[in-house]
Amino acid sequence: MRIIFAIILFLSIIIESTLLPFPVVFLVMTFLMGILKEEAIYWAFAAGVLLDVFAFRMMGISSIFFLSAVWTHDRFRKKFHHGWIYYQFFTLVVLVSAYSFLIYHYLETGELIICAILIGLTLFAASNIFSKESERERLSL
Amino acid sequence: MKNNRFYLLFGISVMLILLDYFSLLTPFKTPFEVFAVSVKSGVFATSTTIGNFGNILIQYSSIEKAFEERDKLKKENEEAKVTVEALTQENTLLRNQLQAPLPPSYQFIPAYVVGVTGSMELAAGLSSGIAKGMTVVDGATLIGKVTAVSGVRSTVVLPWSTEITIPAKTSRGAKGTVIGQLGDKIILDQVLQKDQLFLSDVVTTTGEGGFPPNLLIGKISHITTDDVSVYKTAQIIPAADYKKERLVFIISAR
Repeated sequence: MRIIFAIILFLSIIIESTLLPFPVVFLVMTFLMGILKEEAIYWAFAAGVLLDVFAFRMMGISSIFFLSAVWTHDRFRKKFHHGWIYYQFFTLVVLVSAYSFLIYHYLETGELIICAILIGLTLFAASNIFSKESERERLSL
Repeated sequence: MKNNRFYLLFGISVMLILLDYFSLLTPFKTPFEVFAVSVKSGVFATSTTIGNFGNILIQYSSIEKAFEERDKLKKENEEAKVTVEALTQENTLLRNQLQAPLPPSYQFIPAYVVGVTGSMELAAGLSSGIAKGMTVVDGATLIGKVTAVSGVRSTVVLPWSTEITIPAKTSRGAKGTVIGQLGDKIILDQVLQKDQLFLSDVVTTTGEGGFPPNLLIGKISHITTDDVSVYKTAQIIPAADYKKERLVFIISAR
């Protein structure tokens, strides 16, 4: 499973650094945070460093951003997973917009809409996975 | 514990930023960058190809039209090249004709040569204003006389023809008549014994017999004298190579 995650992350790093000025890696990381749990912090750091190498950015910039996202995710885990779904949606939209603005110095309405749609889809997929997982955990207890 | 890991990695990230800021990471980054560049260039090339392939599929009909258009333009370009070449040649000939030492009152009708056998055939006729008896020249060189005209073509009798006699004079003032021989020979005949003839003398028209004066016919190449005869004759090398003419001019008005 981890190999698949690594491939997905690597592909998204290549796509983001070569073809698409959009925080694809960040979205993928957001998706993986819930699955990887404890490990997510290492994945975020590695993905950030690799993305910086591929995108010729200053080393460590993306890592800090991804680590912050993981920290935020952990800090407000309860609120995100059991609270109002729009929290997740708006937090992610804001984070992605901030990332686009800070890293790519580029933000426009069209991109925001695409970003919102992508986040919505990501959340939908993630919520499906987590609801099944929590159900399983509850049953095993 | 978890927070410790976070702080450690966060610290490493900040350290990386600082090291990179002072270019201390450059030696370590270079091999990774080489790898990154090779991967990215491959991905980019592939994406471009895929993008182009999509465009090709979507715009297949317009591409096909563009190819047809290109072929058509190619053909037109080739034709235009040929036309330009022909026009350049024509322009050169016209320039030569204009520079010829002929009176400015002369008016010329240009005509392309379509064949030279015993006579010369021109691709211009009554529609171009050509009439029977008009003199044909190339520059200041006599080519012949129009003997037959139809709507779009005309026949010119050349000096080597036996059908034509041209009153002529040499550069030393000797007068005679240019007549054709069988084949492509021209002779200056009926020159009085007392008149001087020398090799390489230039032979021109006198202005009689319907020909304008001072048109170049050729140069004397061989002289035949016989003390018993009344006249002497000379063989002439024509100034024009009639078989190589492409564009000639008909003097329409004097």
